[in-house]
Amino acid sequence: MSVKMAKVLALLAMAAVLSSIFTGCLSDALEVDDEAFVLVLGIDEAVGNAVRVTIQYPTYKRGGSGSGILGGGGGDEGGGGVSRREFGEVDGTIVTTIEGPTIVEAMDFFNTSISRRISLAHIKLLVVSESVAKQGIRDYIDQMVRFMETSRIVQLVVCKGKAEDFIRENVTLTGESPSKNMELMILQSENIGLFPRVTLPQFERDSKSPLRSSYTAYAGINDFQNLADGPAASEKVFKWRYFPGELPRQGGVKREFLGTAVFRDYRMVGVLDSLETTFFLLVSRKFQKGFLSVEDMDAPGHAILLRLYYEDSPKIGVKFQGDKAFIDLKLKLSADIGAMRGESNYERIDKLEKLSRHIESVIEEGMKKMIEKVQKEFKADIFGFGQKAAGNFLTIQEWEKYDWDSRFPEAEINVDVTVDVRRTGLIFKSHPLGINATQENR
Amino acid sequence: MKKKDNFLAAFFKKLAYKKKPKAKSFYIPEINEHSGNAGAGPQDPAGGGGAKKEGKGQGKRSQKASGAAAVSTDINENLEFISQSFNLPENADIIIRQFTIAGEVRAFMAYIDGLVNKQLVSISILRPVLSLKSGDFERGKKLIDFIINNVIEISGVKKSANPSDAIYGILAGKTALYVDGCDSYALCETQMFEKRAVETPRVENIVRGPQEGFTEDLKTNVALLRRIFRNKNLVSEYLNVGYRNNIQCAVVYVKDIINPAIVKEIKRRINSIDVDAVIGDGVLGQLIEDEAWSLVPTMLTTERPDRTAYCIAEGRAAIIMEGSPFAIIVPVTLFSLLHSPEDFFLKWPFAILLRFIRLLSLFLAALLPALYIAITTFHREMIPTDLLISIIKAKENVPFPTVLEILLMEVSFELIREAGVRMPGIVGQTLGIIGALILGQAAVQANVVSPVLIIIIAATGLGNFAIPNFDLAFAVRILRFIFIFASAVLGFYGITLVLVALTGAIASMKSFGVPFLSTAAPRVRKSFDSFIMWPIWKQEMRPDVLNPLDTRKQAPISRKWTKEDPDSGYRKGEDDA
Repeated sequence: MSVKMAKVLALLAMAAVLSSIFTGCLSDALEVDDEAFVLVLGIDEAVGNAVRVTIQYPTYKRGGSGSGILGGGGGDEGGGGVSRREFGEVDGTIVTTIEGPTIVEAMDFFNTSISRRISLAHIKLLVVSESVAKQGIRDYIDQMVRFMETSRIVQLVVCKGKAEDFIRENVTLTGESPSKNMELMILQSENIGLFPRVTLPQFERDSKSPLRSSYTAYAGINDFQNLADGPAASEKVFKWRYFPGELPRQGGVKREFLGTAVFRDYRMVGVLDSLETTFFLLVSRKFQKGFLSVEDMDAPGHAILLRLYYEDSPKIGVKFQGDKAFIDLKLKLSADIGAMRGESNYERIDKLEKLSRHIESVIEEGMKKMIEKVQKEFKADIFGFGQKAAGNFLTIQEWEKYDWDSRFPEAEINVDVTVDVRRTGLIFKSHPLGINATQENR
Repeated sequence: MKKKDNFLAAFFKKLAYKKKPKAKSFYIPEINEHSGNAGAGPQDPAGGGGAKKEGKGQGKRSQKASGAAAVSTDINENLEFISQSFNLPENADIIIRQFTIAGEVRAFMAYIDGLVNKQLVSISILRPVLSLKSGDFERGKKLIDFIINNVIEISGVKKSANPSDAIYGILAGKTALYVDGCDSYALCETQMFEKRAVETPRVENIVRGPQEGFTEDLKTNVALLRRIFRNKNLVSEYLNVGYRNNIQCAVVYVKDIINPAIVKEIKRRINSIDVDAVIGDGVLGQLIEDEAWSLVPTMLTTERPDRTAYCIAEGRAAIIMEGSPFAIIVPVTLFSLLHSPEDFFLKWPFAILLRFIRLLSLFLAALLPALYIAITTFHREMIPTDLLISIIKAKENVPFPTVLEILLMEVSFELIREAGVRMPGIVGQTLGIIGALILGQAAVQANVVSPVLIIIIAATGLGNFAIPNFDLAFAVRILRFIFIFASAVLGFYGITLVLVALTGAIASMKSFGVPFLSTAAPRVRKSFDSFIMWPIWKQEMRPDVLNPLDTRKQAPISRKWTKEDPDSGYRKGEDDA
C-alpha cells in the first residue's frame, strides 16, 4: 500500500470516527446521580396558572425513614419529624408542588430549586384529580405521551379529591423503597381484581380508538373515619360495593386504589365500584384472579367464598340487524370453593351443579347491571365490543360513518355466564353437625 | 632535604583538591554494514552461511551448500574445517578428539560438550574403534562404511557426505566421526541433555481426563502423541526454522485423513520464513499466522497431547516446536477456541452447560463494563428503578464520572493481574491483600469508586478467566477497552457499531484457508460439535470445512451393540424359565 493510499485511508477512518463522536450522544450523557427520578406525578386544577403539578422523588439518602443504618430509633430521619415535613419529605422521598403553563415546563420550574435534573424516565404513577379528569385531560396526556423522556409504563390513576393530597399520603410504610412500593401497589390489580391496571400509552390508544372507550383505575384517600363505633349489627350484613375512601379501615397508608374511572373522549363520565370493577375486568379479559363470595342458598345469612378463574377467554360476538347491534357475551368461568359454612354437602355432584347455577345467576345479574350502567348511563364502550363489531363492516370508512360511540348505547347485549365449580378446596365432603342430620344428609 | 621536600609535596598533594581523571566508559562502536559482513565472513564459513541456506529450505539445501560442497578426503582439511566452523579455539564447548586406529589410520570425532552422553561416546564409539586390529580393515573411502556397519555399537548412525549436514548434526548433539581418507562423516546419535519431566499441564487444567502436558523436548512431545494415537499414518515431518538457531519443528498429521493441501501450505509457510532466530511456538505462530493484524487468534495453542490427538484425528495438523511445551493446531474456527479439552471427557449435557457458561463469560468479559456505562450514562430508563436508586445512592459521594471509575478499576485490575503473573511466588501472598483489601474495600470506603463497580469488575474478571483459550482471553481483554470507549461516547449505539465491525472483521478472517466463523458463516454441513456438543456417538462426520480425505469418523451406527441382542437377554414380560 502506498503512503498516499494509507493517508487517504487514515483520513477516511478519522472522518468516520470523529463524525460519529461529534454527532453522537455525548451531549446527552448524564451521570446517574445527576438526575432526580420522579416516581409519582400529580395533576391538579391550578389557581394562578394552567396546571398544578406535584412530584414525588427519592431523596437518595441511605436507608428509608425509621429504619436502615442511619435511622435507628427515632433519629431526625425517622418518624417523619416536623422539621423535615416542612420541606415536603415523605418517607425517603420529597413531595413538592408547583404551578406552570405545561407539565414539561413545570419540570423546568422545579429545577429552579431542585439541584438534580428532573427526569420522568422512571415515573410510576400519574395521578389526575377527579375534577381535572371531568374537564378532560387530553392535553396533559398528550404532553406526557409525546415527551420522549416519559416512561412508557406509567400507570394512570384518577383520584378522588386533590392529587397533591393523594401524593402526600403516598408514604412507604413497608420496606424502604418507594419505587418498589409503587410497582407492587400497581400489580395488586392482578391479585385482587378490584381496580384495573392501565398504562398511559394504553389509555391514549383507547381514547383515540374508534373501537372502544378508555378507563383507568380510581383511587382516593381514606381518612379512617368509616370504621364506625357502636353496637354490632344484630344481623350480618354483606357488603361488596365500595368506592375509594369508603372502606371501613384503620391504620396503614391512607391512599387506596379501588374501582374504575370510565372515560369518554378524554373526559371522565363515571365510576364503577369495587364489585362492578371485578365484573368489568371479567368481561374485558383483564381478570387474573380474585375472590368473590355469594350468599349460601341453603343457609341464608352465610357466604360461600369462591375463587374465580377463566375456563375459557370471554367470547364476544356482534351481529347487526339493520343498524342495531346485538352483542353476545359468553363467559366461561371455573370456581374453587374457598370456604363455606358446610351445612349441606355441596361437594356432592348434584349439589355442585346447583351451586354452579346459583353462582352463575349471581354473576350474570351483577354483570348485566354493570354493563347496563356503563352502556346507558356512561355511554362508553370500555369493554371493546366495538373491536368485534367493526368486523361486520367492510371498510373503516363505513365503520366510522356508523359512529359506534353514539350507537353503542342502543345495542342489545346478551350476557351468558357459565360457571363450573371444579375444586372444593382441601375438604371433599361436608355435613351438618349432629347424628340425625348426618343420616338425613346421606 | 630533597627527600623531605618530596614528602611535603606528597602530603600537600593529598590535602589539596585534585581533579579526578575521568574514567573512560564503554560504548558500542557502530559497524559499517558492508565491512562488518566482510569481517564476519571468514569467521563462520558454514556455521552462519551454510546453515542459513539450510534453514531456507530442505529442497534447496544441497545445491546451496556453500564453500565446501563435498567432504575432503584429507583429515587435516577436515580438522581445519570443523575448527574453523565452530570458531575454535574461542569456543570451548566443541570437543575434537583425535586418535589413530590400529596405529596406522588417523581419525577424529567431534561433539559438543553437554549435548552428548559421554559414556556412550567412550564405550560405544571410541572403545570399539580403538580396539580394531590392523588386519581387520582396508584403508580407503570404504573404511567409514566398514566402521558404521561393523564397529560402532550405536543404533542410530548415519553417513553424511555433506559438511553442513555434519555441522548441523554436531549442533543437534550428534557425534561426528571422521576417518582419514574417507569422503564422509559418520553421525552417531548420542544426544543426551537435561530436560523437564512430563508434568501436569499448567494452563489447561481439567478435572476429568489425562493429566500430562507437553514438555520442552520435541521428541518427547511427539512420543506422547504417538502413545495415544497409534497409527502408522501418523506422520511427523521435521522442518528447520531460524537460519541462526537452526531449530526443529515437527508438523504432525494423519496422512490418510488430512487434506494434503493443508500440510503443503504449512510447510510452504514454515520453509519460507527467513528469520535468524525463531525461539518458541509463539514466535513461529506469529510468523505463519494468516491474520497478523487481528486481535483474535486464528490458531489454537494447546499443551495437552490428548487435545492435540483429538484435533489431528479430526483432520487438522499440529505444529510442535523444539523447546516449547505447546502445540499449534491449524486450521481452527472460533468455535474450537471456545472448547475446552474437558468437554470431550464429560457427558454431553454437562459439556453443553459448560459451553453456555463459557459463552456467557465471553460476553461478560467483553461487554459488561461497557454495558454498565451505556446504561448508566445514556439509557437510565432500562434499569429497574430500585436498582437505579441503589446505584445512585452508592454513587452519591463518588466524585468521578462513571467512565473514569470503570477505567480506574479496570486498570487496577490489569495491574493486579500482571503483577500476579510476574510476582515471585514467595511474595505472592501479598498480592491478595493488596488486591482485595486496598483496591476493593478501601477504594469503596474512600468513595473513589462505587461498590456496584466492584461487582462489575469482578464479574468481568471472572468471565475473562473462564475463557478457555489464553490468546482469545487476551483479545477480549483489549476488546473490552474498545467497547468501554465506544459506549462512553455513543452508548448502546457505540457498542453495536463496534460489535458489527468486529463481527465483520472476524467473519472475513481465515485460518489456513478455513473461514473463521464457519459452520455458522458460511453455512456448511451441520457440525455436531461446533457450539453445542452433541453426544459423541452422533458426531459421525469430520468438520466439513477441513475437506478431509476421509469424511466419516464413525460408522452410521457406531454403537453396534444397540442393534444386537445381548447373549443373556430377556424381554419385558417374559418368564424367567
